[in-house]
Amino acid sequence: MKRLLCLWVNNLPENSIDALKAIAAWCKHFSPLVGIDPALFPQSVLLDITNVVHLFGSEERLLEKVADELRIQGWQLRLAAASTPGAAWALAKHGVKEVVRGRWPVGSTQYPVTSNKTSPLSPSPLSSLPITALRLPEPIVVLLHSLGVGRIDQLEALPRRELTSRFGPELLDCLDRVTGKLPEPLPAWNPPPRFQARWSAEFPTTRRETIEAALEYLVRRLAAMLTQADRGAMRLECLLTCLEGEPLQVVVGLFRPTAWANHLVQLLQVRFESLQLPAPVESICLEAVATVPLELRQRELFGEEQPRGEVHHLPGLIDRLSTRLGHTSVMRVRLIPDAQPELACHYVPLVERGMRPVIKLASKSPLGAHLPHIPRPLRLLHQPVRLPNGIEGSFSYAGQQHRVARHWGPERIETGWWRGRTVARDYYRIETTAGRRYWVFRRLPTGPCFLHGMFD
Amino acid sequence: MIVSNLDGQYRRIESLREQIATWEGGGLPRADVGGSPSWRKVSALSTGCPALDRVLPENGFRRGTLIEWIGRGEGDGATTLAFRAAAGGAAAGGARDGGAVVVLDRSGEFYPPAAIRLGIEPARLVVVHPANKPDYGWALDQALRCPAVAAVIAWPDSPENRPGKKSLGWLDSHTFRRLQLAVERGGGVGMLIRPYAVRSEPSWADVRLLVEPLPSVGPYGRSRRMCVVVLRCRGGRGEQTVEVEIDDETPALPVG
Amino acid sequence: MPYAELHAKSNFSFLEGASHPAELVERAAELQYAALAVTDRNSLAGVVRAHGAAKDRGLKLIIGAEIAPVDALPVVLWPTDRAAYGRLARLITCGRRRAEKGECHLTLEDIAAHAEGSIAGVVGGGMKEEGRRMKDEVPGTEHSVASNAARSRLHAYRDIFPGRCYLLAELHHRGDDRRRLDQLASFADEAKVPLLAAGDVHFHVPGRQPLSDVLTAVRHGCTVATAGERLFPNAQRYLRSPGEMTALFARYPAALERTLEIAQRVTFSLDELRYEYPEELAPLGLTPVEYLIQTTWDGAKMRYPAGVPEKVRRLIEHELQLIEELHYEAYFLTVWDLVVFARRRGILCQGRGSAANSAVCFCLGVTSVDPERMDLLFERFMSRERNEAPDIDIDFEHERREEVLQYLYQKYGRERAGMTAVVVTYRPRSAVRDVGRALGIPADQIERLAKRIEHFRTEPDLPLRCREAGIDCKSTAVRQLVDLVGQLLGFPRHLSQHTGGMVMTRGPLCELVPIENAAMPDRTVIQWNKDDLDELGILKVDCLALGMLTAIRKCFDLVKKHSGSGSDLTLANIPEGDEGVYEMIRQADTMGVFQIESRAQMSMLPRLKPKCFYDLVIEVAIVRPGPIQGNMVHPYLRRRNGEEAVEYPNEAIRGVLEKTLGVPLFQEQAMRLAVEAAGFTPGEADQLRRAMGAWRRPGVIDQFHRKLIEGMLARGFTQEWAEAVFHQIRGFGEYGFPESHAASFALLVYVSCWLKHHHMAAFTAALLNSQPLGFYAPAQLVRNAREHGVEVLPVDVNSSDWDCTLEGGRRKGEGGDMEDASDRNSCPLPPSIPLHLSLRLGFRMLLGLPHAHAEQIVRSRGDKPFRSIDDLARRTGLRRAAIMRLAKAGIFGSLETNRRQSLWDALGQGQKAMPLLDTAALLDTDNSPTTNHFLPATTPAQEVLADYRTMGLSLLAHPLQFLRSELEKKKAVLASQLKTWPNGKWVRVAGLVLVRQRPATAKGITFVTLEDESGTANLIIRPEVWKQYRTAALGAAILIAAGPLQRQAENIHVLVAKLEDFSTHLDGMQSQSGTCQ
Repeated sequence: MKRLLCLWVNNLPENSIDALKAIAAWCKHFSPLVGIDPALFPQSVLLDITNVVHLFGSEERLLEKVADELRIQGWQLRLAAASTPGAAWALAKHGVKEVVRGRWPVGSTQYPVTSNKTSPLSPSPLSSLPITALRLPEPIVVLLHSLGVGRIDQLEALPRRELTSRFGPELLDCLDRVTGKLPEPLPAWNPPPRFQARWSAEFPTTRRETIEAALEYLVRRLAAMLTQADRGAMRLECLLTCLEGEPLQVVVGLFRPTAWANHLVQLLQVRFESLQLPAPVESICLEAVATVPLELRQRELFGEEQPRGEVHHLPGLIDRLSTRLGHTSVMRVRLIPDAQPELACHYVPLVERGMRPVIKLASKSPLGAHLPHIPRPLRLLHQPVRLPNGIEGSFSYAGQQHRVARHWGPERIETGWWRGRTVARDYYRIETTAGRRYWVFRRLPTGPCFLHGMFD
Repeated sequence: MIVSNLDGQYRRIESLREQIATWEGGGLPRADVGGSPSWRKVSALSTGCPALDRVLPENGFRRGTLIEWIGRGEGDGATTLAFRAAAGGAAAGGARDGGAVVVLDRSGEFYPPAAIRLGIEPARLVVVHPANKPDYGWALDQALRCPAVAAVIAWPDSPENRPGKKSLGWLDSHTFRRLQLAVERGGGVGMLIRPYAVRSEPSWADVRLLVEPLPSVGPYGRSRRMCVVVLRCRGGRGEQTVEVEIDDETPALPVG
Repeated sequence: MPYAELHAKSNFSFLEGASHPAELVERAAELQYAALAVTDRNSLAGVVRAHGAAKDRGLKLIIGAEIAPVDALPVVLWPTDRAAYGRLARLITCGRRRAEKGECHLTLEDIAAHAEGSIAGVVGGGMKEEGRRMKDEVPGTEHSVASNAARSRLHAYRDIFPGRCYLLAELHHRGDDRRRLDQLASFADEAKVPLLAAGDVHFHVPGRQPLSDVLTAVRHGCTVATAGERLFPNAQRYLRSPGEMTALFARYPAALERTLEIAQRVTFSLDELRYEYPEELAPLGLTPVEYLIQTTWDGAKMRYPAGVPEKVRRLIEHELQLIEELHYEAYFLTVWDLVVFARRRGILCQGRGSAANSAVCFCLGVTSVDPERMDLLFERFMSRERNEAPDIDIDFEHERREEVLQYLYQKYGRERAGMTAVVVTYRPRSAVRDVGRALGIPADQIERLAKRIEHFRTEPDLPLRCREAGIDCKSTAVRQLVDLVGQLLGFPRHLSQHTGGMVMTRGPLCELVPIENAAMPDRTVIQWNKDDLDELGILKVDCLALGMLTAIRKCFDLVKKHSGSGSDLTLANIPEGDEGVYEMIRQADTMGVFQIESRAQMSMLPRLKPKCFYDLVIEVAIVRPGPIQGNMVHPYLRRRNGEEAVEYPNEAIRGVLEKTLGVPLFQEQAMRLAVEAAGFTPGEADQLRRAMGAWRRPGVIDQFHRKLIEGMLARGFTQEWAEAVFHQIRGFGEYGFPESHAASFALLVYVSCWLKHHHMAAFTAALLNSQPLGFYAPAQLVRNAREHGVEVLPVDVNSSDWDCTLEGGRRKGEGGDMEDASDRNSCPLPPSIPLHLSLRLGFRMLLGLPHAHAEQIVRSRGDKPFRSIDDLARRTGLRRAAIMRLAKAGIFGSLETNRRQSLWDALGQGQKAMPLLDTAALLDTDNSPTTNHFLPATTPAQEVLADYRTMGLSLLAHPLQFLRSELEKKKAVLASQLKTWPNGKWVRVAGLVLVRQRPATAKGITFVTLEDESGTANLIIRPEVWKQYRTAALGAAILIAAGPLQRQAENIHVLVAKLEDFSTHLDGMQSQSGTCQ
């Protein structure tokens, strides 16, 4: 007879399938057959323990051990074992009054466990459970409640042959799945594959050639795994364990997912060129921590119509630049429709630090969008420079005297009050007698003048 | 560096090839490597100023070359002209599709909205901020070398080389030549914006221009005027001077 | 150089303009503009307010509108004369009627068709988002230098407005003003259209820029921070000084001069609007006056079959003379026509208002308040001195008012009839929501704050609310929120329809004011509200919906049906002066009747002790904000009870206040006090009343306040008395309740009380059949009826109709008559004696039961009762879900089956194939299964709860009965025990929450009524207690309240100190059998 264990997690973060996955992955220690299915068995992890109970002595001991260890990880649980997944879930969810907290007394037998000798139902702990334990569709539960039927035994007292015509086939199905009359398989779950390769030095070394060779070896293995899974790496993490000190971590983000070994090697090399090894390296672990399926190839950089041969160079360039200069040094531009000039433009790294691939360099935005309607300087000073003598006739800047020949403006900018930093400026374009052009503003209403940029 | 044997051989052959090409006076077609580079088939890149186009041998800048813009310093308009030319190159030029415009900005003072107003499509603009001189040189080389890049705009001389300072961080001849080889391989145009002080230094550029600002004329002086001296131009007649006029209140019309 | 601003939007360009029309006018006057044009987008909704303000300030106001056609540049139109104004109004109507509510759809062609007489200013540029879609076509924007399309559009306008077309040049320091101006000038030159300076003003002072930005964000559904270039880059769109404008247009002075030229050319003023009433109401050959006179005297003969009393005759003559003099005959005929229509349709109606209580209106049948038997002063009925419009509101049965409205539309056509608008303005809650969202304050914080605000009428003290909601009020965003919400309060948000004000005209209405679509289908609304109409002296008839009239009519019908007498009860023939009725009123046994059933009213009754009809008039008017805010209630009661001497400061005042013992209680009295005591002219007094209303004219109230107080002090009144009068006038301004309205209402009070007293069962049935209505839920009405000895029978599938009905008693034709019944009942009966008729609840009592299902059941039932659920299913053909609903409602009592069993049976329906050959029907067998024992039995508590769930009441028991043992543990007493509880002693009482009321006048005190199985208990919850137990107080279905008992005259209440939510115990009752039985 099959035995199933259900863990009902009380303090599961909302909508957190990830937490369930983590618990399920951990439960693999206890049973090779672990299942989660938030739709069928909400908030729960199921284990097939049919063939492993003997390893722990008894079912109670097994349950205790699972409860204990998960509790240490901070989970609040109810556990139950039964001969069908449905019965185990029903008991775990509804058969225990208290959520398991704190240290479970060793040897306690408070886990509800259906006997595996008798039939799973009456007289069993199940019959006194509320009908919601049957995972019935909500409308049926409501309907049964209006008939005064709240518990499973009350439901069983109804004439069985009249149920289907009144409630549809689901009601009996749900009941029979729990009792085992209808089979219900354990929803199988397996952790996703990891793309990871390790190398250990026979003798710890600082020799670059050795390390680089090892890296190349690891990359090629990784690339092979990726290719086989038809996935491309978006982010590589390389962990070097040295004889002394903290392990070194090297992270490489990619502009475009790839499983192409040469490119990955190149990127890692760029990073390793500047890497200082504090001590001989013992081992290296390389992992593609973020991958995407390669069939979901994102759009090409500059739209679809371009011939691929020419264009695939650019992602390579961007990966190389980002890897060596740092991802915040290789950027695209987003124009912000903000009246305040220094806020009208944002830089966005082309390779993002996170997991998400940058799908497009930029959407093909029309040139006109957010375009300043009058000229802007190509050079904008980080800090506007105060012009102590104003701009009447002439101004001095960087030790030089400039005579104002013409000016255009004002362009008045009054904005930003919602940031708590209202700016009020009158901008002028100024041409000096030498023909040079500057961008200056006067702080309103009659404040000082500042040089803000040059029309280089 | 870990490189496979095959890569190593390839690399050596490449560098030999480059040396030969250099000795021969730059830019022989290298149709033997990976087929004919598509940029070879395309006409020269208009400077965006008809007057200037007229004095250049192919009515514009040849692709796969470096262009030097020597200016008079801040507010002179040299960079503006460089961007106008690059905009045309990125939008309508090169490999039919256009390509990226890479700006290598060390000072962080580059203001993209102005460039976009000059016609650079935001989607094609990549701004790189190398932190130091070696990185700058490396990034410049990489960008020029990339076939997907239509134009690179760079200030290759260290910022401390602004007028009046010692000529310590100038682009040295060796690097210059390497850049020239890189751009030839990539097929884009490299716009090098350089200080006035280097005008008598040797050059590996295809064209060297000197830009002098001029006062505007007319009742409201809307048009911006500059005097452009063609100091050097491979295959062109000697030094020539043209006056260009741009209406900078009218943004460049969207091209393509 | 002087300047006239010709392009300014007020906040009636909703979510665009950021200043009130009056603010624009004030500022323009300060800046000494030569003129100001208010030109809202596709709207004239704000012009009347601007007009009023401009008259006050002596500023020349130009009426205009910015028209934004879909296929051309926006254009500002300034009509030069009345006819052109009419065309502009018609143009806007045309665009508005074509589009969704709030939208306007116009084309260049439409503009051309209505162009005559208007001057046009083509908006040259600077249009923001709306202009964006045709940015390339707007001359003057950079992209359009070579745009031929834009030129041709300009040329098109030039041809439509020959010699009257201008190109607007509007400069806002955008950095290229010089170039733009040159460009526009060259455009203008080329098109031979003169250039005209303007400001595209959106607010009166630059300080409104933040608010303008917020409005923009609200309009686009984004935050200010993400609105980007949809915001103006600077604050230039304010009213700039003529000096600044001169500097801006230094090179084109002619463009400035032309503003003055246009200001001169436009001579139209709203004062020219002469309102004309429809005239077709008189038959051929008679003038309206002749016809009115004839109709009135005909009516008088009907009203007084024994001859018109002399007093009334004199009144009628006097009134008719006045009406003729002031040319109001058409108005009276209009009203009369409506009333005649309603009567023909059998719709009960009654007029109220100053003119409605005239003798003429009594004769016309507009009102049933007999001028002879009621000694009312009709001061407010039209006087020669004040050219004040007569005021008649007509109440109709609420379920049938729509018929009346549609009649009006039909009779006068959409072109000539329209509904008055109500300008929906920002209230604290909506302002907090919109501003908060625009500032990007997290949604949960905004909601918390918005909930805190409830519905504060006045300034909501936002910083305090923020602290309560746990929001950091020192943060920039919240400080800005507080500031901006303050500015936004009172801003118009959109136009909605007035509850019933109809305007009808002789000529096309849409040439008087634009008409637009209302949210409801088949409704149209004019762009002005009632204050606007008042300002311009335009008459309207208010057709209002009144639920009590529906109930009264239904009660009349029931009485007629069951009394068997042929004579109809009407509002006019209810016997007056019935002492039994007054006795009932004095006992405050008034649940369900009109007006005097609220708790405040009920608590007043034993103190006021009404003895005659006029006492009811006072009762209706006294529990109102005016008298309460003016502290007039207690003085009046004291004087009435002889505890205080009745004195008058002088004879003039005696004339005003004698009827109310020297205490002003009615709006008319307050206005007359302003005249008699403070020396106001009647016109000023009326202005004062209106200034107190929702109008936002800064400073006006203070002005009047000073004048009133000074006038009264000068005439020897005390400061205290003067302030009291002022407060009262202020209260009246917002909640005006004049004697003339109170008198009409009092009649309905009396009639409903009479019906309650003499025909309790019928009255209750009528109330139940007119729900929702009044203060009380059906449960209380039913309970009240049962307490009065009426037998109430449950809804039953074999006995009920859709409506509640009466059973037993004498049916039609069985003899007996009304006189009998009323004779017997006119001597007060002890309520315990059961009356003849039982009240059978109808299917309408079941929550959510479709009317069609009930009809189906009644129709199929005929005379043959259903024998089983199968039988019902077969005969009605209702679907299973419908039968299940009936089963859950437990209406199969006559089939002797309970809810669960019938639900089980219902579930079995419809699953069997409906046989071609219905054997069951053929064999006439009943195949309902024998009683099943497998379903758990229900407890009485469950039955009661199920009744409450399906019907909101139960005839079996009160839910509290089942909690009584637990409540006893908590030491809660029965509500009935409160009567004998010592005053001031602590008591604990529990019950279902019936009513939560927080009258505006009660200083934040909330009145809650609890009900248990023994009766009701009244709670008073002070604000601080409310705050402390807010969750329970607001959310609980069952409350336990504790506090000292307070007794005041006949009123007993608990002054709550503690509250407890006991609702969860309901769930316990619910599940008693579920798992534990």
